[in-house]
Amino acid sequence: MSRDVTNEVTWSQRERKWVRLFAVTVLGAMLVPVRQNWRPVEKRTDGFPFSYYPMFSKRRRQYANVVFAVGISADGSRRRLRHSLLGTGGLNQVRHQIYRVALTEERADDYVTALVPRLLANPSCDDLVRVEIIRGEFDLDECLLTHQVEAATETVLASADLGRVPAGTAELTAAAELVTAEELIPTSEAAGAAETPTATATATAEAPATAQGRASTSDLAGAAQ
Amino acid sequence: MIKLRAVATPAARLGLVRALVGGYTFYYLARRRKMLREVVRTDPELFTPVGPVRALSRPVPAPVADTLNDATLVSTALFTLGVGHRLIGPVHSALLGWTLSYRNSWSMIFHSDNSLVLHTLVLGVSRSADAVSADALATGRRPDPHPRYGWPLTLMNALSTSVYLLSGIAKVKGPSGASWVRGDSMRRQVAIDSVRKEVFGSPAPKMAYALYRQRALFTLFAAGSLVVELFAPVGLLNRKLGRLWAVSAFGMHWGIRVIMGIRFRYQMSGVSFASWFEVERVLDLVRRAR
Repeated sequence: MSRDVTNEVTWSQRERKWVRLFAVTVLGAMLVPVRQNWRPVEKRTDGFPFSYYPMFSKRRRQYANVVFAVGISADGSRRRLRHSLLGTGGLNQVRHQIYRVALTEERADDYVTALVPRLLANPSCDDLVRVEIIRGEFDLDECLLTHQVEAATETVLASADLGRVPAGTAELTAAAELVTAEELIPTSEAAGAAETPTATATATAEAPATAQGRASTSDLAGAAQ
Repeated sequence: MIKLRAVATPAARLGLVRALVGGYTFYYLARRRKMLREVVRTDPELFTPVGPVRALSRPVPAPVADTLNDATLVSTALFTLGVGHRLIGPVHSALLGWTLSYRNSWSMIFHSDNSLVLHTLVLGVSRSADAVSADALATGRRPDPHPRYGWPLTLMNALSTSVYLLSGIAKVKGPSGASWVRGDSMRRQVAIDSVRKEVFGSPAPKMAYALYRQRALFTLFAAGSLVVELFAPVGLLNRKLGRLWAVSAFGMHWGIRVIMGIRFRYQMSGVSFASWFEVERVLDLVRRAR
């Protein structure tokens, strides 16, 4: 470090210039995104690490839409699926992804199809036979004041059969199919036909599940219920 | 520029801030190593590059991303220790900027990382390892106070206040306008955030439910947060005001944690605000304690 004759700290002009340039550049880059606030909403873009911090500026009304996933077990009971079952990166990342794919890009079927293998691989989902992607409209006041977070209205955007047969269900399914078969074909042939639904159930459990259309239910899950 | 010119500052202050920011970063990244490995394997269709990652049109192969993440962890350790800072500082700044940008390129930007990346950039390119570092230990250097150790801290402070200023402007420039101060938007923000948490299997904080009826309280919170945000740059004018602002912002983040359950980890750790204080006094206390 250098000092001049008056014992004042000296600082080279070159270093000062560099510091000034660097500081102006970084601060300028930091402040430039403020312009986004004056652009039409649909044209605004956020960035990283330079942002205009739009998260608290959105209009919030009493009713809000949330897209989420629900698992349905063989007895018909439903439970919302935790974010870690749906994807990686935490709750907010998963929430953005499901909203983007299912609603913005209208590819809810793709989302649910991709979700099925994740659920089948997770032991905590062993009881589930179907998964649905739901758009729920929530009355925020009602939810917060009553401590009951239930959607006022729900729309099933897509659903998929997990192709899983809970214990005892295969036999019930087979019996139900047998009754149908007996109505259509002679008893001697029905005995052989009884094998068919069971085999179908097994095959379905092993085959990759396919996404169903909007608000549709799978045959297998429907039979189980 | 605001006092960037000639405020002689102890090298140890800047050095300790570097060590704190680096230490926090190491903890942050090490705990997320597994998560980052999973994130880089997300469906490529969800890839929405931000920051420097916008140079890519599609994700890099997962092993490459893993290597970069691990390289960032290594550079963080070296940066924290102050090893070969002239090279490691800029390299670490670049790697951290890349890694966190890549992590934020999957449909969700985590704005809480912004300050960390920018603070690291300033520390990386400045002489922040002239003290409290392996480099200083090796050379036995004990530099006198100098403005070159002060400007990075001032710039870090300016960047911090800019984040809050921009947040405040976004609020009053949003659809609510100046009426944001009434607190209704904030109250609804708390509500939607709580509902989302519950719907995705993470319980909302009890305080969100408990306070929801208290409209007047939300007016108070909204007014308080706008003051902290819009008047943040005032903290740059005066050292005492700056510290008062830093403490207020720190408290605001803890308030958000309690009411909304949102963790701004860098800010809540206090490391984000270390540049406002004479942190080197801690070193003196430690020396005296010996």
